[in-house]
Amino acid sequence: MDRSPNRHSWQLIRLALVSAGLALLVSVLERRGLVPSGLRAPAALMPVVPLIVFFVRLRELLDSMDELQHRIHLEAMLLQFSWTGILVMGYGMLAKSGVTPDYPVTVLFPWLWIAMFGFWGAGIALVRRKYR
Amino acid sequence: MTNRLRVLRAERGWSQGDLAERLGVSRQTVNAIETEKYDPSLPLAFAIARLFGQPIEAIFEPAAAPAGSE
Repeated sequence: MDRSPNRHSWQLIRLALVSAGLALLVSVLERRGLVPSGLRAPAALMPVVPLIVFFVRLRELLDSMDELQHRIHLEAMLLQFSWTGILVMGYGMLAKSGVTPDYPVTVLFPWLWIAMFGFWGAGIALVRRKYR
Repeated sequence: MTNRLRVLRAERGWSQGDLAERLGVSRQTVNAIETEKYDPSLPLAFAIARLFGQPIEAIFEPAAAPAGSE
């Protein structure tokens, strides 16, 4: 059994960065009109491919973990879910009342992913301290 | 729950890593059990008992109930 979550974690971070990089690249190419109309859908979905690999690798990582690591990740995901929910709800209510700008979802979505991954990482670090 | 894992491990001269390897868990899990921050599942508790050749109740004990709770 491979019990080196750090190696797996770095692999996941690399895949997330590749996905983010591709999303940025596609966005720039589209903005400059460099994507042929027939290739717009495949180009738009290109950043999703590393994300699929990401979730397959995540599943493998969870399978390789022992029971305490499972618990740590479960608690971390609960924290991430809570913090993301509070952030989305808070922003949504503030935007609705006109206190903050109401950005379109296409602008907000990448930031939501970044927040989710950031909260997940912070959650893991926080929960790990509890069992140290 | 309290346990005698650290004592039993020390008697055999094993490091936390050695014990983790024998149990098929991470060193962090062994440390969390020893410091009583984490209670192992029943299968892991049985694996620990088997490894040390002792019954579970000789290794793990329920924490004392708070006074006046019964």
